[in-house]
Amino acid sequence: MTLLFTLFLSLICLVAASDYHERLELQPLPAGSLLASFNFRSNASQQSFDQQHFRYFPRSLGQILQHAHTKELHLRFTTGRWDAESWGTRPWNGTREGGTGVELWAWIDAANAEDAFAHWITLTQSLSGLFCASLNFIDSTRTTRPVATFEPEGDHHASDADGSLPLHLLHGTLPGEVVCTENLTPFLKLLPCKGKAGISSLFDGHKLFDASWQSMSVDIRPLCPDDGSECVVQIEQAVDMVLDIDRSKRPRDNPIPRPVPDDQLLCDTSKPYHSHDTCYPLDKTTDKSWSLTEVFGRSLNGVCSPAHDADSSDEEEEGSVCLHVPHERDVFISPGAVEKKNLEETSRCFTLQPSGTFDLVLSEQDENHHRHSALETPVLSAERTMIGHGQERGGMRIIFDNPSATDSVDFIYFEALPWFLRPYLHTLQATVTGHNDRIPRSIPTAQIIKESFYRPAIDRQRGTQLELALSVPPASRVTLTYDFEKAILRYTEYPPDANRGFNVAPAVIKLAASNNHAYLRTTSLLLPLPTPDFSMPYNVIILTSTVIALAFGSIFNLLTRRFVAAEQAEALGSQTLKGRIGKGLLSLRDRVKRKTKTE
Amino acid sequence: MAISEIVQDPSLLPILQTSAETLAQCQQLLALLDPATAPGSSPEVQEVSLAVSRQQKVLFALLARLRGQNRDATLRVRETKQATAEARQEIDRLHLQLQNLYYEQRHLNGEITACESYDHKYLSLPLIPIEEFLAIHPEHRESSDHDLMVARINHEHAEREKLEQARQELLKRKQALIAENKKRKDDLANLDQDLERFIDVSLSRDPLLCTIANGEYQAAKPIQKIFEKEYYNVPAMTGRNGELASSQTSSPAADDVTTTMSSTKASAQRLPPPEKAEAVRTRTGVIAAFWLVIILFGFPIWWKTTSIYRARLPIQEMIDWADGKRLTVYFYVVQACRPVFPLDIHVETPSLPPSEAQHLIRTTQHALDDLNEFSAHHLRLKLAEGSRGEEPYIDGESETGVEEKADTTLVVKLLPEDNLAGPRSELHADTSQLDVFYPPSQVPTFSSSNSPLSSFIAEELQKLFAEEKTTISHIISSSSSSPSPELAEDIGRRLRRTLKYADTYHLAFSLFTPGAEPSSWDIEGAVQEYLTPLLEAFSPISNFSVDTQVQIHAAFAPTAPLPTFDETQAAWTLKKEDLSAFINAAEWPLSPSIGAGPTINFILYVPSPSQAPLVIQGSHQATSWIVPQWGGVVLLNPPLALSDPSPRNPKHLSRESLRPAFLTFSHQLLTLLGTPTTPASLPFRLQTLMRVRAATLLLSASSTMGSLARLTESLPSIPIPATVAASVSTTLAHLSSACSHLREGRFAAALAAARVAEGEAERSFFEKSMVGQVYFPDEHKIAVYLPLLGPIGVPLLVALIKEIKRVVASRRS
Repeated sequence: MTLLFTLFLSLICLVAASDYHERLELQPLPAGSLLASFNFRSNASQQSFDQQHFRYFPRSLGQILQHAHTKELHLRFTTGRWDAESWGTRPWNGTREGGTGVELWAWIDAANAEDAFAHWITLTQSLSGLFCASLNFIDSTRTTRPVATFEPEGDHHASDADGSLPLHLLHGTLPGEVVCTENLTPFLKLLPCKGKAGISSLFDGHKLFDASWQSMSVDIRPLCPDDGSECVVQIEQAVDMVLDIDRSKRPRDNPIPRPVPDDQLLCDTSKPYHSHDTCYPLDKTTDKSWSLTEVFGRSLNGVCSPAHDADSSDEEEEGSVCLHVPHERDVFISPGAVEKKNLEETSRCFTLQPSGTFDLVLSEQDENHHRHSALETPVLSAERTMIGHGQERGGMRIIFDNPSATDSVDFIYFEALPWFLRPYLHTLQATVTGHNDRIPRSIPTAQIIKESFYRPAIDRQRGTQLELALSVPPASRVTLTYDFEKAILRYTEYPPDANRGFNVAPAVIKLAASNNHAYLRTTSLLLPLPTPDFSMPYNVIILTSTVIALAFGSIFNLLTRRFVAAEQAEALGSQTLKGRIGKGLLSLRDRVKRKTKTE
Repeated sequence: MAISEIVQDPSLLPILQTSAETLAQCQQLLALLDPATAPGSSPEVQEVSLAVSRQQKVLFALLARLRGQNRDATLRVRETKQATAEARQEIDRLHLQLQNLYYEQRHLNGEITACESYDHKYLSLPLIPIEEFLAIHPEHRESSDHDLMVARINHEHAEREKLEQARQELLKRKQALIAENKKRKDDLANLDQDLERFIDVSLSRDPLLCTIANGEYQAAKPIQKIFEKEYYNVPAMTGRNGELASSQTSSPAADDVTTTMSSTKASAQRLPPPEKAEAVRTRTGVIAAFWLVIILFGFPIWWKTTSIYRARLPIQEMIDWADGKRLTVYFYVVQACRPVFPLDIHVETPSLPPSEAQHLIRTTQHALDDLNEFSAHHLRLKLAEGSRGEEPYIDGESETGVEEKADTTLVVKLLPEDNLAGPRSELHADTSQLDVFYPPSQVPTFSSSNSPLSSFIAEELQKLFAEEKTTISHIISSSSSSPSPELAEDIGRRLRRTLKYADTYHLAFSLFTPGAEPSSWDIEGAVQEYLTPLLEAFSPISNFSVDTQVQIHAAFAPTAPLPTFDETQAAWTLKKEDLSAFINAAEWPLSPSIGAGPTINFILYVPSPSQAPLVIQGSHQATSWIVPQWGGVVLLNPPLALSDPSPRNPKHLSRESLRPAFLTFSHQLLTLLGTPTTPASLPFRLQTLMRVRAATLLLSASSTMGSLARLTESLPSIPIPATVAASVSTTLAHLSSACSHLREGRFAAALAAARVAEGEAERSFFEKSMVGQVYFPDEHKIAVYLPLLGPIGVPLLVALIKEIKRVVASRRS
């Protein structure tokens, strides 16, 4: 994975005025998974960008950026959870992925914070239309201004050098957004080849969103080469996904999983109950066989290289599809493609034919020890859960685990909480558990938290923002807990599915190790809030109306009625219409009686 | 045990004997043949063999006998078996017979016991004991049991018949008694009722009678008599009970007396005293107070809180603008508007003396007025002031003085030229100047009212403005008859193509190609060279922003008809009717640009080498078309680079190769913006466009005002915020100022005013808060109010009605 990252860094350095590169990295992971990292990168010179002459840079996105005065943009669509325990460290060190749902952060130049926020709203509204996502729901309550968590990747001028305005970083998340094919289609439209040629022709919405984990990212940053040549605006689109090879190989028209046929079952013969009709299945010890066409459901069509210029020769040699398997493993490729093995003995790259399809087949082969050793354990693992019970209060527990036996880990923990979750920071407590003795010890938070930035929430206007600079000692596990209170929303503020719960955005962890940053995100949480019975207002109206009407009726009657003795009332009653009718009825009854008697 | 002990049958004894002999013989033989005693010498051998053979013969004989005896024995055994079987059969038969007899005997025994133990009915007859019977009939003492029984039964029968008869008699007596009893009871009940009635009557009538009644209650008979007497005397007593006179006389029938009596009982109670006037007044006051609070406080508060804010709009004025009344009744309404276009045409006559020039202008004006049949469009000829100074009149200078002066539409320069048969005119392509060359002889003299020169000038001018006139008349009233229907049709089509007027237009130039090449074009240079001059010329009317993109791998829509190869033209052709499906709107990124103002799309399509050259079907080999109100498309077939294995498009499109496409684009832009096609001079066409645009905006703003007025009148529930009212007043003010500018010939100012009016009109019409949904619909209001208003309203209303009735009644009395 660090290899990927260094490759990525080296690619950044190769900046031409207007070019396009794409690259696909395939790495088999344990447990029959496959990590596929697609990377598309193109540049536009700053001048042509400003004059709106777009070549590889997408026009729609460029216009949005100019309209919203956005200098650097990062947009992430993510589904699933990266299983660090079995898959190792994250691709690109976590810099190209977001929390579950949609995450957006951008540097906007504006004279003051209000202008920046207005531009930010413009940006989210426009991107919402462009990407078919609910980005327009990123309002002030979901927007934060992180202080230490994010740093610009591009080269920005000093604010007063050419009269440009200061940059403002704004960050927003939509943890409840479901990323799906309607987000992939606009994503593909931004590419020069639009999924018609090159590695983007492998994208199939069904396979992509069927993956165990997937992340789409769009990054736009201005880059100024060190040699003083013209600045460029770079757009980098990346798609990373972890595919379950078995699952992906199922045919699309018949996706129901079938049991393994008897004769292909691999049984554990050491079990006492093993017999010809009883089997304890063993995991396959061999690497599964797969091919590009099987896993992605499509074949790779040619090369998307609109820039056949001479300066892109370096990239040509590098090859656009790379596979990370040991050199011992046999890989069959389509005729015409050129294979080039790297020196590290763990990867090889392929240069494709400009036209025609490309396929890559890995045969089934005995597993060897090389592959597992390639997996690196993550520097830190983090986990965030909600604790407590009841409708009124709850608690948050964050667990950081440092597996290293020697080095402590310094990092920045960033959390944006919705306003209806009101944390009590005075209840923030830290517990350290050593890996050796496993005894939790309560320690003062100042020992762990070196710095903190806290911006309390304002009801219905902004959420809580919490940034902590933490340090976890080696071989130990730190647990942070704090209590919070759940606010009661107004009647109209509840969504239609109020009983499902409210999403709390994932926390972002920036590992400040050496010069290159690594990011880590926890999973998003679901916060159950007290929900009322939604017919309540009408019930209240009707009940109070009835009470008022009753009270009014009796008072009004007291005031306007005439009071007489009961006998007199009867006499009076005989004179009224009611009394007369009653009298008539009485006489009728008597007459009928008399008749029966005389008979 | 020896065999002789077992076999003792005499018939078998010979066999045993024979077999014993045989055995002895055999043993004898064996002894002879014993090898131990075998003789060694031959005579002995011979002797032995002789003995042996002798012995052998004996043995054979014995054996034969034995066999015969054996056979005999066997036959005898068979015989014996046969005899035994027969005997046994006989025994079986006899045994069976015996068994049958046994059964028969048992059955008969059973029957006998059953008969003996049979229980007859007569044994259990309920008769009197035999001793009593004999005591009664001693004569039977001697008779047999059977006779005794018969006699007893007969006796019993006789006794029973006697008793039954007695019972029947008793029953009859009982029934008679019951009937008697009942009759008596009825009598008693009747007596009771009569007595009650009597007591009632006597009590109400006379205390004396009452006491009598009470006292002699037990003596039923006499009281009944008294009662009968009183009963019929009732009418005679009426005089005494005065209050009841009416009711009693009205019911003379005897049966009615009871009812009258009950009513008498009720009215015996006293009526309450009449209400005091004070109490009545208090009650009236209370009811009035409640109603006053409701009317004075309740209704206004309810009205205030539930009504929506509707700012006052000058509805009538707005509708007048829309209906064009302000246009037609111009002469009667002072501030009304009518889009007139007085066009100032300056005539420069550097070579003529002023007086002659004046005369020439007058005659030309006459000729023009005769030719012109469209009153709104008025050409006014003026002698240029600068003509005296012999300096050319520059169009730009008149623009500076736009505040005071009317714009100059056209400068006509009269230039004398010798050796010309007739006058000829020449329009400058880059300025709005018309040079008229004329032979000096044709200058009209003062005497002539008409001259060839003036009529020529008038005709020329008329021709120049013909299209503009038709366009404007088409805009103002589409139904007006125009001189040539073809021209009107043409103009109508052009107006339909034209984009709506806007301050800013975004021009989006896109290069589409189905393959990977060409992927770059020299767009910056092309725009700079071919387009920027045009856009600058347009700057007084609209602003433009330009953006461009390159889109490779842009395929046709799957439903779009594919081009076909035409042999005769040696080209791939697209059918004219299929052009509408050419643009793949679903996949090609042609989204409108961000920002106010419409986007005009220009598409440059480079077909793939396999489909090149691509043209539109038809004879002209056309490669471009306009999509009305949207943009234009140009098919560019660049020269293919002949490389093996297949020809390829060039990677880069140079500025030179883009030239024809961009010339087409600029022409399409002019068309889409509504610029007239004639005449050739661009500044002149732009000025025409300005006037057309001003008229269009004026009308569009007016009609928007009318729509707004109708909308607010037809939907009484939508709110009208104050901003809308402000916008409306701004619009109306700008409309009238635009009108006055038009009247005075200041078209640029009129356009500016009309722009503002249009913008404000659109803003007021599309005000967000006006189209907002009604949050609390009427059904909800009723559902919420009814539980409160129903129970409160009903007592209030009833009280009010009662009070009004009482007041009315008191008035009447």
